[in-house]
Amino acid sequence: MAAAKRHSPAYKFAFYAFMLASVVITLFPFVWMLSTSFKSPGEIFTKTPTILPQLWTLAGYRNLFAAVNMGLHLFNSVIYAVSVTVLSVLFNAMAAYAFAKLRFPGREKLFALLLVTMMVPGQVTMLPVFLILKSMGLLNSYAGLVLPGTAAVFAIFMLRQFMAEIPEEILEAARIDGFSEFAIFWRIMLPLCKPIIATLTVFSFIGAWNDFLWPLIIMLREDKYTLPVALAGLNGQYNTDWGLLMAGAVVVVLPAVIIFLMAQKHYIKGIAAGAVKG
Amino acid sequence: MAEVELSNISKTFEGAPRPVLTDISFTVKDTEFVSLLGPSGCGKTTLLRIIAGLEDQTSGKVAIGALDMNRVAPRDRDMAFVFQNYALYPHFSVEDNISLGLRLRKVDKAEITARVKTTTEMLGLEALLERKPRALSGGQRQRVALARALVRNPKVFLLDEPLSNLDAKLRDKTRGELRLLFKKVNGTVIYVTHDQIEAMTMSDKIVILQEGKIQQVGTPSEIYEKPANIFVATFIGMPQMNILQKKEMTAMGYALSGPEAGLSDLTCGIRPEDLEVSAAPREGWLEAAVDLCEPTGALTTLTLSAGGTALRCSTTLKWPLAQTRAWFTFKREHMHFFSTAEGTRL
Ligand SMILES: Nc1ncnc2c1ncn2[C@@H]1O[C@H](COP(=O)(O)OP(=O)(O)O)[C@@H](O)[C@H]1O
Ligand SMILES: [Mg+2]
Repeated sequence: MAAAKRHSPAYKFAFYAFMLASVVITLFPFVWMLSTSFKSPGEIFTKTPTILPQLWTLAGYRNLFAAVNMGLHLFNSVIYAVSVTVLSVLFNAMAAYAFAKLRFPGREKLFALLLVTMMVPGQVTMLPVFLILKSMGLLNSYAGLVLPGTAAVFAIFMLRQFMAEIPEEILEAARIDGFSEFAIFWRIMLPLCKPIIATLTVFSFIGAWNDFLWPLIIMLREDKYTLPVALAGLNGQYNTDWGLLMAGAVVVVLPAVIIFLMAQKHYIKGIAAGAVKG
Repeated sequence: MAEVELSNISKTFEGAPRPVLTDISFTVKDTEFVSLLGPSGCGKTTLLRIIAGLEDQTSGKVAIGALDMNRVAPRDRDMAFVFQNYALYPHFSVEDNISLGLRLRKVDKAEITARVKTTTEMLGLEALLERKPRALSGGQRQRVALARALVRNPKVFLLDEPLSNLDAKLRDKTRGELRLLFKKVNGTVIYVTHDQIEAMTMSDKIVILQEGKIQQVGTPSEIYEKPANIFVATFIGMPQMNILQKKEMTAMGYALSGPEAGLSDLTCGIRPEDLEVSAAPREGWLEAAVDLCEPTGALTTLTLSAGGTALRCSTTLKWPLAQTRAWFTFKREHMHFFSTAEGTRL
């Protein structure tokens, strides 16, 4: 927008028109989802669809809560997303700290190796990971669900880049002041990494919250299903009740939106910092 | 008792072709203020970091009060380090920056409050305690960094060019304050600087380093009056000492006398302030052309040329700018003699 300042009114008009169009295109599916979730089944399939429901109804939501044990699946999803987020941020930050600030032989090589693994698509490792967890007896357990998500190379990479920018002298001052190595990590490194941690928290929470494939594979019994898995089961089983399905989608999306809005301030700072520092 | 003793410290960084420090030995006595002085890149910071335990020496020994520090972690050495860029904790308030070291050491709460109070009063930081470092000026940050060191009441203070980021005026003022401050707390101080004025005015003792080797250890006056070699002679003193080869002395018309006259391997040094000049001819004085006259107020620096050799001279005379001839002389006892080949004082 700063760039638009110096331009002619025609340019400005085109610029804002384009931005507005982008916003509409991005938001429309969400609005449609929200509106459909409040429509009656008859209205969902009228010849002249309206953006807002003519007649607001909570039938979709009522049917949803009747069809599945929402409380249980919500609980599973919260366990999954919160554990993955908290543990992955902690473990990734610890690994990043070691890669950024501690001296040990083979550090650079190990880090390069780690980056190489980013090229391997997740689907490729899914089966081996499944088999490993199976042999550990962790199928159908929260531990098995959460464990693979607790380390992410991309997050380690982002955190390491951020930490590398923090002057060595601050850590050395702390070392002389009497901080233990863990206290330096906990009381100095982590607080200074707040922007990037906010960003990664959002990534990781939304990633786990929306994750479908992994919970589907690892959880064998319906009572362990997370929300997306449970909702997918509704598709077709009831001749696809769109009102119900959209109500489910709203319930799934809502927490992600709330988390994003809460972390937005730091999140954008983190992205910007990453952009500038490369 | 906090005597710091360095014995034969050498340091070569991994993969570096040459050592950064070679065979460094000296002693800092209890409550002594010692400066490490040398040009940029000579290894001062590295040496200070080795003393603090932030860097490992390749060989040699650091001892504090006769205790070998080689295997002791930085936090257990009971030293405080003031970094060149201050290295304050950006996310903590000034008060936390100052008191954290004590809190981590489990010092009694009341004692911490008392010590933070005395220290911040001493440095005039009372009004800034709630602020974050980013809301402070350079001079204020520097004082917070000092306070963080002082409050711990450590055995030894290590300071790495603490004034180099201040503007000239503030630096001038702070120099004297620092000296008084450390006298008041009876601190043992190792002070790194590349500024000879700081070293000369503040120190009990100066260690001059060049390319990782000690050139001379002595009091400021010893170093000024009896520089151990040509490097020290020209490094200390502004404008720098005139260095003349024997044949240049002869060309100038000066007849060497005494035991040095017979030496072929001889370099002579004479400080600009030890030259006497006159605008009128004097009996027995040497004659020179005035190439440049630089008045600075109290002192005027003249660049003379005699027998094809340039000589600088500082005088309190009000030199007439139009005057292009000068007559000068100097006393034999003000001359410094060095071996040309070795560079060492004879
Ligand atoms: N961590 C390091 N690795 C390799 N070389 C270093 C390192 N730290 C300093 N040096 C080198 O050591 C020399 C002395 O540096 P330093 O002690 O910072 O000098 P000074 O403080 O006197 O300016 C310089 O040539 C510098 O490049
Ligand atoms: Mg330095």
